[in-house]
Amino acid sequence: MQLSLHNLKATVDGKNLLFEIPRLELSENSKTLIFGPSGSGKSTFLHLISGLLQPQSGEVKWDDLSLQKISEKNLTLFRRENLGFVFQRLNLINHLTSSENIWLFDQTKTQQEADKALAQLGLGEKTQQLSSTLSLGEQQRVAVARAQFKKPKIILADEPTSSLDEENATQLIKTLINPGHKQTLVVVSHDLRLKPLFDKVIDFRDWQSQGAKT
Amino acid sequence: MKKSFLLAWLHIRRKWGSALIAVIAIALSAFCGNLLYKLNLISQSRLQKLDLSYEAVVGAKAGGIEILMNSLGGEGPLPDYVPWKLFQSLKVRQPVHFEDGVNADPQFIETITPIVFFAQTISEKKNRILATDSSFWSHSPKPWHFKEGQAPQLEGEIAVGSQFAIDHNLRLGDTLKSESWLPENVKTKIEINLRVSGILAPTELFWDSIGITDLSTAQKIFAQQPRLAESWGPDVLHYFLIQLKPHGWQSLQTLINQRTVTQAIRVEDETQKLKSLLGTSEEIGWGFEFLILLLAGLSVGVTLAFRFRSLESQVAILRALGTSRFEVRAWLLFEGLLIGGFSILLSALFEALLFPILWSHLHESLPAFGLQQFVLSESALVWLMTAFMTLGMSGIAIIWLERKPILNSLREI
Repeated sequence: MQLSLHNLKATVDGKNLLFEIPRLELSENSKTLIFGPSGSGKSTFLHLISGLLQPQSGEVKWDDLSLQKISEKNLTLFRRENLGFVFQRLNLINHLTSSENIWLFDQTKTQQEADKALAQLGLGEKTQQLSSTLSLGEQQRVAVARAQFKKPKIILADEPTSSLDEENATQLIKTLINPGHKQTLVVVSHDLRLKPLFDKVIDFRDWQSQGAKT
Repeated sequence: MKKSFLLAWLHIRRKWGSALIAVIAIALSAFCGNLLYKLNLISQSRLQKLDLSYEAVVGAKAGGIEILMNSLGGEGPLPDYVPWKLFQSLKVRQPVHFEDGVNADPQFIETITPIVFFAQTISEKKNRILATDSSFWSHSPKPWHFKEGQAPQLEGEIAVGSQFAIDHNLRLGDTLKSESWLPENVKTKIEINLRVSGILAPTELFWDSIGITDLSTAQKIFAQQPRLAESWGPDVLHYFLIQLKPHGWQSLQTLINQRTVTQAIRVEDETQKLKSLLGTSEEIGWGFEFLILLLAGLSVGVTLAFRFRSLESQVAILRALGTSRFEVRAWLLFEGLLIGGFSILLSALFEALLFPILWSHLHESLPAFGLQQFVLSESALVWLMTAFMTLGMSGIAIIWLERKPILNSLREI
């Protein structure tokens, strides 16, 4: 799916401008890294383009679908059918196993398929382990597996490699970049190691308001 | 729906500690609610067991309610005796002459029936046996109906109430072994064998648990105890059950209460006092039950509120990843139903195990509570309220959680 942003503005507490994006277009199947320092608003950017947050002004469009013009019910449906999200805080459900954290979100597939997806990320031995007992790096991989599981058209990832070493970080990003099907990928990160892996790298500081930069 | 049910089941199973605490708390609330509700029903049933068809009762001086419960409810210890001679005077409408020269003419009495408790069954469950005369059968305010047989005609015969017959497995013609029930100063117990002459049809009153013989049977026992009552020897009774002529109460009260060693009570007045004392007038009774159930329901609500509050972040994750409102609502409702269901089962277990023990301590003089008397319908009301409150709290949790913006909840993780 193609992303189009027009005059997008985001504020802090509805008052102070956080960032402003006059125009942005990301083509279908593109792999984009949004790069910037911590606290610059990168997570807010992802929340806006996923429909979890509404902008102060402006429009977010995926193909011809404007997220500002559909109902909350259809927004949920849009996320369910098209979006995979890797949150900064991972947001796994603690009392579910790593396998359950994946297949319960897409019951068109089986638990065996979920186990296979985890095995591809080196977690084959941990499928029945509660996600709360996994290491942070392992949880991150489960979160990526969850996002990828239903083969969504869009993947949004917020600092997906923050707790991983270089080898695992590269391995994980390669999984995100080469999913085996058409997928628009947007990753926000301050991890310098990732830059060479993406088609397009955008410096978020270009969009930050002057007030936010200072 | 399957996803929602699985989420509910896995949450309960994996967080079984807090789920167990919630289930026990709700079960105990429901049990206490049921216990108080049943005690209220028992209080009312004690009142319902009284035969209130008689207008007045004369007995030894005691509290009015005590006389009422003992004579027409078969409760309480062995009462004090009253003189046979007084009964005779009142029965034949003979003018009564007092030492101060006052004469009283008891023409205000329509019928008078004597009763005296003199024996009880030997089994663990002590059923009382009273003696009376033919007026008990012929002049009763309500007609007597026999399931089998007839009223005792001869000395040594007994008619038993329907429950009495069941409790002691009696049939017509059987011999019932009983023992004398006399004051504590009479140390010797006399064994009395009585032949069942009749089994009464159920009355839904305390008569169902009573055995009734002719006065001659009791008098034979009393004759063996010359010092039975200090002043009157063996010529004693316990109560006179009286039907009055119109406006006769004032005269009876004046005669009996002011001029004799006995006391007259008006059944209607003492019943009202009893109702007030037990707080079982109809309006208070229902109000009390409502409060009990409300208390149980609020306990359920508080317990579940804490549990559902902890689900805020999980609901936000699910909603962020595309789980519909319907699926989230179904999850929370399933969880409420499962917890409510387990709680009701546990509450039923508490009742089955604990209620008979509590009953036996609270009502030693009443028939023992057996499991066969565990009436499901009486508990169903509280269980229904528990299920309703559990689902209600799930509904409130849903409303509260849906009002929270997804991102706010996610940021709080």
